Amino acid sequence: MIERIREEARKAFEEGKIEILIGFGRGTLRATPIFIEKKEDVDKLIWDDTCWINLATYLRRFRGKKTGIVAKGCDARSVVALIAEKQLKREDVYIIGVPCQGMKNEKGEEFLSCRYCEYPTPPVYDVLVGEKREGKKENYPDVSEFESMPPEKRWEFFSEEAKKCIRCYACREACPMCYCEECFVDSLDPRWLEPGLSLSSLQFWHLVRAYHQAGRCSDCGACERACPMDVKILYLTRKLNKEVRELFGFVTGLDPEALPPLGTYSTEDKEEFIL
Amino acid sequence: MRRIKKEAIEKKLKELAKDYRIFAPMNGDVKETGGEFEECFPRLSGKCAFLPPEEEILRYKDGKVEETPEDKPIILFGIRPCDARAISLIELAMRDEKFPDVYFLRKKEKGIIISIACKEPGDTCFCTSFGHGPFSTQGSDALLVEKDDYYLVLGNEKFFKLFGEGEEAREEDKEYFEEAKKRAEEKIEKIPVDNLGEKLLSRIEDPVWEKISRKCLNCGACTFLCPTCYCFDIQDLERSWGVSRRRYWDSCMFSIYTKEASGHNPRPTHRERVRNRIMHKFSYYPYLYGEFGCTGCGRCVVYCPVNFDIREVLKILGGSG
Ligand code: SF4
Ligand code: SF4
Ligand code: SF4
Ligand code: SF4
Repeated sequence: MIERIREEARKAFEEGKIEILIGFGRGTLRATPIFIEKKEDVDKLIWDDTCWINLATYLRRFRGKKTGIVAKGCDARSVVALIAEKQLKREDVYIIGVPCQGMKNEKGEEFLSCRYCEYPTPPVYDVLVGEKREGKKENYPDVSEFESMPPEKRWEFFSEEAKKCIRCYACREACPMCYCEECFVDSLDPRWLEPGLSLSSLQFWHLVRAYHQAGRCSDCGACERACPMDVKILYLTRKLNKEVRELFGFVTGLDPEALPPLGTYSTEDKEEFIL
Repeated sequence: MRRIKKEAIEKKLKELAKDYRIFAPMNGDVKETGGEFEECFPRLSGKCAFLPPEEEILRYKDGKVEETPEDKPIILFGIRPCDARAISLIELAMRDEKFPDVYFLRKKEKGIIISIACKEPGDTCFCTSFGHGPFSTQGSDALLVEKDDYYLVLGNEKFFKLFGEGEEAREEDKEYFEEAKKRAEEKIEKIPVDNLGEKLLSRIEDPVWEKISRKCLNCGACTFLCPTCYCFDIQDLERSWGVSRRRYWDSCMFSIYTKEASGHNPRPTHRERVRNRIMHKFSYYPYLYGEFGCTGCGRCVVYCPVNFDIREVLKILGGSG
């Protein structure tokens, strides 16, 4: 796999398709993002099950440059979502798609996002290295489990998780879709929520972060992996992704032309949740 | 050196919880406890005791300003020696002649810090690079070394007055101490830091910063977990009874940290922000206070989501990597 990635990267440089390539290199603890500017350096690329980061998060830094990206299924879907939101131009991004074998934590356990991943193979790419992989078709069993809890239990779970947060915003910064010029938490006028670690502030932060992802999140799990405090946050975005699918039949990041449901409207939209 | 039964210290700590606020590692982080503690290298560091993530500093109520009253004195127990050192490094900045930080200093002056030596340092520790180490006493009122059901203690009067004096350490205890110290120190990687402050200053416009900083996401994980990072923000919050002025951890990694009212940001990208974090610790700190602003605890290495490794950065900038 590594050899194929390097080969395609080299070719892309030689054929003038890219000026810079975002990929994974060997870090000191796990795979780390690297930025390659000349073809001689493509041998620094690696691929393993510690490629946790969603590299799409760096793409906006290179706007206007022909940028290559080594992308697993979820990363590629974020690229597509960014294109759909007009943050990137399709022709500026060169996607080296890698059918993903799933990412693992330090203990060798597969991450939740990968365990139920439906699109290990990038749905959109310029070149695909390796055989396509089938995704799982389980429709968010983890979310169904959460939904089946009584409301007090769900509230308790949500509050206990939110309490662990120190508001370092690593989750936000790791997410390719959190690109607002000014995040609502940073706004002083109006001040949407207070700073600090009171339970209500933390709950507010977690809920609104998740809401802003509805129909935009690719379930990559990079946010939860970035969190130094081991706060569970994926169940919130996954719940919303499930809702968006059920209400609008929409899945993020499959089609660069398709606008996310909250960014558009249709007379066919279901209204049962509107009073 | 003294030796005191572990039991005696544990019991005393619980008793002291009446008159002191006890902070100690518990479930993986330093937090306030009722005198319990856990033997671990905590994720949230000892700074939480003296510089909490959030604290009220004054109130405006009924047309008057009220300073937040002093709380009970603090005992910070069971942290690693690097965290004790870290608090003494923060103190250097807080003891500013013109603007001493009263809220930190009043806690620090009455507080007591007791660390436990690291017999098993981690893979990401590099504390010996700064001339200290897993058995360092700087910043601690007492350093404890576990030996069977005893602690060997290097402490000051403040500590012995509270916890009792135990008995004089034996010859074999001293040997044990020296050996354990040597064994622990040998396990730790030393990063060359000679003249690092000047080297950094001379490279302030070096294009290498762009390379180094590129992968940084500019989140707050490294600085919030760093035991020596002390930046804070102050905000006035409306309450039904008046106004509460509070301070919160802040981070030079955030873009809004330096954003000015005009909208201009003198540190607009990851390059300037990462450079500031490194320069502050390894150039400005030695220049201002004669010490590096890093203890080599390795937290920023472990918890960085993109594996930004400060050890590698120091090797590159110091010319050894
Ligand atoms: S919210 Fe989390 S899972 Fe969703 S795209 Fe952002 S980083 Fe990925
Ligand atoms: S990364 Fe974790 S601790 Fe940091 S803001 Fe997000 S949830 Fe909170
Ligand atoms: S070095 Fe790592 S932890 Fe620190 S701001 Fe950058 S990405 Fe976040
Ligand atoms: S190693 Fe990192 S976290 Fe620890 S004191 Fe140094 S800069 Fe701070």
